[in-house]
Order: sequence, then C-alpha cells, then structure tokens
Amino acid sequence: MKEFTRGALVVTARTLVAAVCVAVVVIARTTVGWGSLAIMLCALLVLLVVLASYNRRFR
Amino acid sequence: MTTITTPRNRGDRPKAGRVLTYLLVIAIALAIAVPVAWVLLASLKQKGEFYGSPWTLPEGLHLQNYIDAFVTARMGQYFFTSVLVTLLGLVFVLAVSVPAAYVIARYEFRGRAFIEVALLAGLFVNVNYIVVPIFLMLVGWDRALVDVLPGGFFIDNPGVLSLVYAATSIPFSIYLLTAYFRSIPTSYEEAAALDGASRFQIMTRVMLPIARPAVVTVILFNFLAYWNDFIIALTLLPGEGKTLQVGLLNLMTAQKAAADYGRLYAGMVIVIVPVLILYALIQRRLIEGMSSGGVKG
Amino acid sequence: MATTTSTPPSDISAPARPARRSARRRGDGRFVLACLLPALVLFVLFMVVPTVNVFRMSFYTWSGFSPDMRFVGFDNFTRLFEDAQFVRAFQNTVALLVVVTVVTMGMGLFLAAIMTRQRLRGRNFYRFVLYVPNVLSVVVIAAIFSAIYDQQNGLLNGTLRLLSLDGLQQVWLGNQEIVLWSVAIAMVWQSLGYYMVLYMSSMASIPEELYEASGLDGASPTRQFFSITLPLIWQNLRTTLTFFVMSAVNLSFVLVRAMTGGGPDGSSEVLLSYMYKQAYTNSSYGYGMAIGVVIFAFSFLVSLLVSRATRREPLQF
Repeated sequence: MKEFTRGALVVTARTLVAAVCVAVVVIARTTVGWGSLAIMLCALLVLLVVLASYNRRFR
Repeated sequence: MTTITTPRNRGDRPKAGRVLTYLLVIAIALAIAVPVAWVLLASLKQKGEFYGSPWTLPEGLHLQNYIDAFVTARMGQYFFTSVLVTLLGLVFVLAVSVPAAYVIARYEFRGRAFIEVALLAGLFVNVNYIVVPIFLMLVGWDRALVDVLPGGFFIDNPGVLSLVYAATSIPFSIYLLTAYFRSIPTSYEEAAALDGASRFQIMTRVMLPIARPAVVTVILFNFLAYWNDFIIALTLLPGEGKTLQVGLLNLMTAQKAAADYGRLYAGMVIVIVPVLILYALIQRRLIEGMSSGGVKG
Repeated sequence: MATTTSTPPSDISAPARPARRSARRRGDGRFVLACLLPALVLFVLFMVVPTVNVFRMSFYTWSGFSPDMRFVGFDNFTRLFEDAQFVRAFQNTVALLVVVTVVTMGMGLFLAAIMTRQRLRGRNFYRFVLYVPNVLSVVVIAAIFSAIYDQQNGLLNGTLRLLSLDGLQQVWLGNQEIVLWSVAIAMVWQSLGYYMVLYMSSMASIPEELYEASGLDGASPTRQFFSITLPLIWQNLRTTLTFFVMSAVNLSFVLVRAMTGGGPDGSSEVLLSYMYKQAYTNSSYGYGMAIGVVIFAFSFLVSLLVSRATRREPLQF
C-alpha cells in the first residue's frame, strides 16, 4: 500500500509541476521583458526535466 | 507508471466510454470539416449574403466569384506557374536524389559517413530559416551577371525557384530513399551484374522499379511541400509571375481592404480542390508513407 | 532517429541489410562521383552556404542592395538586448512552442490511443478527415481562420450572435491579449490530425495479446496506456517530438506571416517573422541574421534537450 501511495504521489506531483510550468509560460508572456523571458525559458527547462525524470526508469 | 485502479463494473464502463469516444472523435472531425465545407459554400455566395448570419446556405450558384478569381485576380495564370514549378521541382529532386541515395546505400567510398551525417543534419535546417541568405545570394549572382543579362536571371525565375525547392528537400528525400535501398537484398543486383548489366542499368532498370514505393512517397511529400509553400515563392518571385499561394495571399490582403469576400473564397477553393482530389485518390499511400518517414518539415 | 522503414517487397526473404558490395569494380569511383555530385552541389549551394551565411552575416551591417558591407563584430547581438520587440517575439515563440506542443502531443496521443483501443467503426473515414488540414497550405489555413475570426461576418462571432452570447464576441485577431492564442488554435488545428494519424498507425502494430494478457491481470485502460502503449511507441514519439520543435517554430512563422503579419502592434510577432521583417521591410540584413542565429541556436538546443530527455533503449515487441 505504501508503495502504491508513493507512486500515485509522484504521478500527481509530476502532472502538477508540468501544469504549473505551462501556466507560468502563459502568464509570463503578458509582460514584455528579459526577466519574463528568463522565467519562461526556466519553465521550459523544468518541463524538460519532468520529461526526463519520467523517462529515467526506462533508460 | 502506477495509476489508481479501482474495481469497476466491467460490462458497463466500456460502453459509456465508447459513446464518449464517438462523440469526441465526431466533434473533432466536425471541427475540421465544417470550416472547409463552409469555405466551399461561401464561395458561391453573392456580396450581400456575406452580411448577417454565417450559417445561411447560398441562395444560388453565384459563379461570378470564380470568374473574378480566375480572370481578374489572375488565379488562372498563377495556377500554371504553380503546376510548372511543382513539376520541375519534382523532376529535379528525383534526378539528383535517387542516384545519390543509391550509391550511399550500396557503395563503399571515402567520406560516405561524413556525407550521411551532413545530410542528416540538413534535416534540421528548415528552408524558412535560410530563405534570406538564399535570396541575397541570388540577388548577388544577378548583379554579377548584370552585363550579360541586364534583366536578371535568378530572381523571378520559376526554374530557379524549383531548383531551390529541389535542393532544400534533398536531405529528406535521400534519407528516405537510402533507408529503402538498404532494405532491398543485393541478390537482384548480383544477378543483373552477372548478366552483364552496367552499373547505370542496374540502378535504373533493377533497383528503381523495386524502390517504387519509396519514390512515390518522396514524390507525394515533396509535391505537398512545393505546392503549398509560399514563403520562398514570395521571396524569389517578387514580380508578376506568382504562384497560386502567393496569389491567394494577395487576395487576402485585398479582401481586408475592400471586403470582397466572394473572390477570396473562390480563390481558396481553387487552391484547395486540386489538393483535396489528389489526397482522396492517394490517401492510403500518403498515410503509409508518413509512418515510414516520421519526419515533418 | 529513423522510425520503421517501409517494408520491402514481400517475396524476398534474404537478410535485410547487405549494404556492402563484396568486390569493388574498376570505375566504381567515377560512377559514385557522377551519382553523388549533382545532389551534393545543390545541397552545398542552397543549404550549406546559406546556413553558413546566416552566421557570417550576423557580424556585418548591410542594407542589402548596396555592396557596402561593414564588419561590426558582436554589435548586432548587443543591439538585440535593447530591442523590446525582439524580446517580445522570443517570448511569443517560446509560449507557442510550449503550449502548442503540450496540447497537440497530449491530445494527439490520447485520441490516438482511445481510437485504436476502442476500434471505432468508420475509423478510416475519421482518419481521412483528420488528415485533411495537413494537405492544405498554410495560406489556405490562414484564410480559413481569418474567415472564422472575422469581426463582423466570421463564423465564430456569427455563431456567438446566433446563440445570443454577444458578450463573448471578440476581435479575435485584433486584440493584443488574445491574438497569439488565436494563432495557437490554428496551429493545433493544422497539426493535431497529422500526429493522431501517425500515432494511430504506430499503435495499430502493437499486438493485441499484450492488452489481453494485462487485461486478465486487471490492469485498467489508463495503466495499459502507460505500461504498454506508450513504451512501445516511444521511439516514434521521440522522433516526432524532436522534430516538432523545429516545425512548430516554422509553422508559427508562416501562419503569423499569412494571418496577422505580426500585428496588431507586434503582439503576435514570432522570431522568424521578426527576422523576415528586419531583413525585407527594414533592410537591415545583418541584424536580421543575428536574430536568425538566435533561432538556430534556440531550436537546435531545445531539440537536443528533448532528444536527450527522451532517450531510451529501443523496445521490441
């Protein structure tokens, strides 16, 4: 049961982080500037990290 | 990946899921089909009918829109430019890609690995990234030749445009053809060589017919790419002889100024219909070919 | 990189990769050269040289038609830092890239999975319709969506009026806040069907027994998707995702160019369209090419990261 809960938590966390990243990209776009561009690029990077962390088990 | 598994009523759930799936898929199919069908219908409307509800059917067959588009907006002339450029481009790309792919697949020579890597890298270079330098290069050539050809040769030349098309689709074409040539056993060539066929004959008479499916795929994808392109055509043919897509773009701009919807929709139909007919005829081939390429420019 | 290749003629059962010719014959060299040369010349002339020129020209100022070309080092790049319009175009590019990729790939995978698993009737027909946007040109798509978004007589506002939802009416392509998302919808409309059809054909080749076996073990459809479908089409997904970066950057440009021209007031400008504008409208080719270098670097880097993040040992079934 513990294993199961942990798995579910990880899935939820990943989905949440990914959703937050997309939201950050959309929101940061509304202000023009290097700062918001940096934030957007960071969100893109985090998305890729989430993808990599999902993929790690399959390497 | 772990997911929450709750016990389910197995007989009930798939049915509901099935209905939902149908609804979803039908909704998406409609979202694609309705705008296209709407354009087809709207091209038959008269000027007055464009005001008010967009959901009304045309009152009659107002074919004047088509005459306007073909003659006044010169879409008829542009149509022939497009056909010419597309056909020439296909001839060029096949003439250079098939032999190159064949020797890469079948011969050992120095620098082969390097050429393969370079072509593979070429897959990542989209034409639209490099259209500006191509344009400047052609302008430069024209300037260098200004004494011999005062009218210019490279810009505004449909032949040059199709050469650029062909050149920029070389990586994709060779990639696809090489993979296919490699999958053909050598026994055919060995038999032909024993019969005394020359290398050239082996390539054209033996291998090319076997590789027909891959060649057809290359033709289909490049046809769509050339026919549908407008950025390169816009840049390299700035004069009178435009392609269909650029002509349609001009119609769009004109419509914004003059609210002349009928002509625009008729122009769209002229551009859409040939592709749709071709697509309906060869869709199975196209979709099969797509899964073999997997690469979209 | 390569996904499955087309099947060779079925009457042959010889081993599949006999690329090596046993004996080299005299005159091979000349034949190879004759076959390769035309393709290589064209490739170098119209792809390698222009690509190199993008990088070279970014160090010069040049107004185009005059032969006066001046070396300015990194000046064009330092100018980028002060150009608010460039930042905006970059932001728009990133936003479109992220949102359109997530939506297209997510929906494409999901819909392909349920369509394959549910074995819907009339699948071929849906497949036919779904693939249609992919054969239409971008100009046509731009024209279709301009007609849909038209302020007075458009399909969208007209329908909203019909449903007495006048409050929801928008100037879809004229409002700086939403114009980019109007473009994004057109992008998804164009590419969703392509990826659905692609994933469907690769999912269709997964043997049914795998699903039956895990079904007996009580695995839910969701679980089956993550433990069977996704791993088995991963290579395909990886290739498409890697190339999607480039094609999304490119598609956003052609759509913006045909649909909004970057407007209103630069609010839908993307990197490539800004480069194009600098080069042709503003005739500052050097500066335009500096933007080109940024696009190259950015899309190459993202493609590389995507392909790194998704690398796996290929799985057979």
